[in-house]
Amino acid sequence: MDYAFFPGCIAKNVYPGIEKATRIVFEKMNVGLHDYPYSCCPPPGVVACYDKDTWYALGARNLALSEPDNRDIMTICAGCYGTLHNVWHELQHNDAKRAYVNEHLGRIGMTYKGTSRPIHFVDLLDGMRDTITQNKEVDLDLRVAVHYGCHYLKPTTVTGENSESPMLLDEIVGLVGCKSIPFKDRLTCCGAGGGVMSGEPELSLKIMERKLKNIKKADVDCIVNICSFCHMNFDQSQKKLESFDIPVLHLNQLLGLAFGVKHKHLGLHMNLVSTRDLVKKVKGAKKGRDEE
Amino acid sequence: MEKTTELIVKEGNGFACIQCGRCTGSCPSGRECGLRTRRIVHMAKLGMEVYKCDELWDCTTCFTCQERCPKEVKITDIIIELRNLAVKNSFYPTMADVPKIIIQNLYRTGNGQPLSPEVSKLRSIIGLDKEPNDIAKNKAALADFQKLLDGLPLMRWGGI
Amino acid sequence: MKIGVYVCHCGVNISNTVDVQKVISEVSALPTVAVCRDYQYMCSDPGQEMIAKDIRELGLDRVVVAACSPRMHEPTFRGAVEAAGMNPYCFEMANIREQCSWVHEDKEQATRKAADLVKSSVARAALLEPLNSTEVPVTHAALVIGGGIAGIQTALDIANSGYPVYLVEKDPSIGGHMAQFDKTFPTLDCAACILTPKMVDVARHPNIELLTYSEVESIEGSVGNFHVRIRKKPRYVNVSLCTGCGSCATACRLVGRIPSEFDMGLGKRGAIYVPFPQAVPLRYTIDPEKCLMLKHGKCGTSPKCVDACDRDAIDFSMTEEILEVDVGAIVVATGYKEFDPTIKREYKYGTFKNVMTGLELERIFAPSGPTGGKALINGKVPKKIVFVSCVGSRDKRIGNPYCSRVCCMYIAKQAHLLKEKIPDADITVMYTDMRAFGKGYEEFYERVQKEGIKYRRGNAAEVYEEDGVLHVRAEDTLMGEPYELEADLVVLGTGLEPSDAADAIGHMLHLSRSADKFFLEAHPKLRPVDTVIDGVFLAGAAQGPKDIPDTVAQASGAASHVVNLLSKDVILAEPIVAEVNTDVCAGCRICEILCPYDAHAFDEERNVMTINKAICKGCGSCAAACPSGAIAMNHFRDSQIVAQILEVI
Repeated sequence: MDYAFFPGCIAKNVYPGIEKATRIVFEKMNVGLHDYPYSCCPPPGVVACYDKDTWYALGARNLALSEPDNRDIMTICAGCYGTLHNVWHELQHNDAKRAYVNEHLGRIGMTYKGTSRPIHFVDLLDGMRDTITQNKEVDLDLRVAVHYGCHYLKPTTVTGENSESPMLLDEIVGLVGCKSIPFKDRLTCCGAGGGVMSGEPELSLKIMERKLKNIKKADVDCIVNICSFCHMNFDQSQKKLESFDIPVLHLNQLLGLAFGVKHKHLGLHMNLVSTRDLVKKVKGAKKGRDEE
Repeated sequence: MEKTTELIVKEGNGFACIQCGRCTGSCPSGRECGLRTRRIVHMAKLGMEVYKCDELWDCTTCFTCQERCPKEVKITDIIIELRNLAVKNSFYPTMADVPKIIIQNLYRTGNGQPLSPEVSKLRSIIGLDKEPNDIAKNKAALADFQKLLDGLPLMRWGGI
Repeated sequence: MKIGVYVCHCGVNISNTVDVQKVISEVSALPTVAVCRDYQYMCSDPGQEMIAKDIRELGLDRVVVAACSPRMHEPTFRGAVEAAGMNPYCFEMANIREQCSWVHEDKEQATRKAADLVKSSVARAALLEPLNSTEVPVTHAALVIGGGIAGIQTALDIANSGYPVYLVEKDPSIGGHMAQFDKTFPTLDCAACILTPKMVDVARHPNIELLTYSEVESIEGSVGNFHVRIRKKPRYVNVSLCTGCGSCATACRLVGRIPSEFDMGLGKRGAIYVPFPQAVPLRYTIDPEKCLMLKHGKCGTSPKCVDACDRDAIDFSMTEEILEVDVGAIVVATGYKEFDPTIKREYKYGTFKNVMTGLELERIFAPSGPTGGKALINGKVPKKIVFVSCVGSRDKRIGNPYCSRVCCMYIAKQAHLLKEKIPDADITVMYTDMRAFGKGYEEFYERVQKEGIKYRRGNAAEVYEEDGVLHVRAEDTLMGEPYELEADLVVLGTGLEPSDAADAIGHMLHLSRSADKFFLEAHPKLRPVDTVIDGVFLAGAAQGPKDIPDTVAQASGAASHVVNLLSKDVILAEPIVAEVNTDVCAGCRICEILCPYDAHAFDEERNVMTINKAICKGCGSCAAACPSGAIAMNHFRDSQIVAQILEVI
């Protein structure tokens, strides 16, 4: 299995541990990831809200890059997935928009055909449950709060997901021995999207604070997300708010731990919120397993 | 072509709105601030200049309102289109500075969030290439990207 | 040939867009046209008289009226020309309203089109043949499908007029949803007090044959003469021996272990049961899906119900019976089912037991219900109660765009009843719009607000649970503020959908459904109880969501139409039917496959097709498909249609 790999700017340029964890985990699962000269998705919050046509054109450029190699595009961020999948979906049935996009891409010698589909990595994992179990070296035995990321789930007319009671992420963390703990408003937004984190940081922080309070009440070992952008918000906001210290892991980092990868190779020590206790707990679990 | 408020409401099925308020009751942002999605749709339906309202920029585009709307009003899509209209009419949000920097970064490096020297170091510590193998590294691709952006409306409207 | 042409202004509906005088001058020039006139309202009495006078005085033998769609007024004008002595099938109508003035703006072009349409109708009229209706005898009996309040009222009204009625109900008892209700809005009459006497009347009526636990299997024939097959499901209890004493039910090994459908699963019954104590007929039924004896052939050492029954009424060898009856008219009263709110996941119905539907709460109120009428939810008295309106109504997302018409009022009633039972309860109704349109409804809405029920405009966005307590989120749209309420009971004001039986019955009778999936009436204003199928009528919520007063009114309306039909010894069958020229028919039987009404019968001996005129609806499918041109449609012969087309091309 081969995919064009779209890491997105947060995983590349802010939390490189996510990029690294993704490369390790997918290599272990025999999925080939290929690089392309991608720009950022571009961000739905800023670019789409300022000018949707530009958003379509830049998104289409990214989508078109792997078309000559017939490769679908794997994303690891709900924001990137939101942009690429919405652009792809719109251009599938909006001929006028497709013509517009191709007119502009033509200026730099490119064409958009729509033959390469964007896919969110968690949907890929859905079909690889056996592979995950086979690669599992450590039963993590963690209580986790899962966070889906709005643009992975919605709008459902585009994503086809169940936005009110999704279970996929809960099931996948279960495969590596984690227990997804229910908490209040578990599906609400983290507060980062729509340009709010960059434009109105105080509002964004209020939304996040409410979310963190609910998670704290659930008494979990960590937050597990499938979106680099939410990941960044969860980690950075806790530092700003000063009253929380819940470790934040991207799902690929969690899978890395379960696959027996050293935490430093996964960049866990680069989070703002310390992951030391969590890592200790996982090491304990590993040791217990080795002694058996 | 610039869309009118009326066309935006029409395309977003906004005239079907019955003001039931399920959208606003669902809104995670409205709990913390003055954003009332229902009122935005109401004002837009009446043809008011809702694009001038600052609260338009409080939406995190989480799409919960759109999901729960019983009349299939594309509320989030309408808000995004109204923001486009605001930008085209030079009604920049009060918070426009940071987004502007993001757009400048996008043009300069191909990424809204560019690589910093610190993160570059972190990358090599964990065994990644110092620089990601992306557009910022590929000068020819970046030049094409800039050429593409030069001809797109964002650079005209963004006040960059 | 003397053709009279009459152009209608339809007030200004036609004349605003079509130059009527110009049309008249063009049409008058046609050689076959003897007279051409216009009038403001051709369908009115003076308009009809204008035509009749010309027929009498000028001896017209063909009449063309250029006006609206024939759907409404073709019968009007056919009647008018017939009264004046002309054959009604020599009348032709040109539709210059729906197909011209209403859909065009350019007056000149619309006028040209109107003239063309009238000319083509004149061309067709010239070739029309006089047709004569044949007389068909009427079977003086009626079938009513569905034993809810609609079916009960219809059956009683017909039976009281002296005609036999077969009332078919799929459940073991009649009564329908109304029997499940506690009290009725806005008068607060006890539903049982006003319904059960009617149920008893049905059972005792000498003209009503009550067929409960039965389903209609097939229907053939047409108006005046329907042949119906009814499947009587085995009750495994001999109803002529059973006295309804209930000893069997108490003895059943499964007593109190099977969720009762009548109690919305909140109460329990045994494998042998009556749905409710006031059931009609008060005869027990064994649930074959649950009974140990019927499922496994064994119930301990011997079935306890058999031991308990003094009358030896229980009979496990009972099998289903098919009953065949002939009727002249049919009333469809298949009612509704409650919307299942599980798919509105944000309301968490099915996840939390104290999120209930309106119908479930109705059983909690009922003295015969699972709590004996005490306001207990999961054993506790709720103090904080939130009602949510429009659940599954006015909701395009789940496919029900219509208003269910009863929820606003049943919520008001239920809020009132809860307040009565729990005076210190804090009750809030979250609503979209308040619709209190019926007699006494607005007054009732005012009354419950005075009783302390809080109405907050803005519907519930979601229900969530925290520390074992439910919370409801909404926006108070009048204040423009989002808010949350704690609740120990959330009642969903669930809407109405057509009952499951509607699919099969609709298919059997070739009934159309409107966009909301309820049965389509023949005309939304003027024929609300008729269907487009002659002899088939609608009553109650089968036609659309209705409250009890409207249901009963429509039921009586349907009954009067049935009686009207049954009071005749013969009716005239429409002569616009297909006819087979047996000299030409090659016996390929293609027409037989196409006929949606099963009007074709193959004559094996002569190797030709025959068509039953009484069943044929004149749809023309067979005539169009016949490869040898052996089938002709009366009134729509090829020559007539071709002449009409040639005039406009």
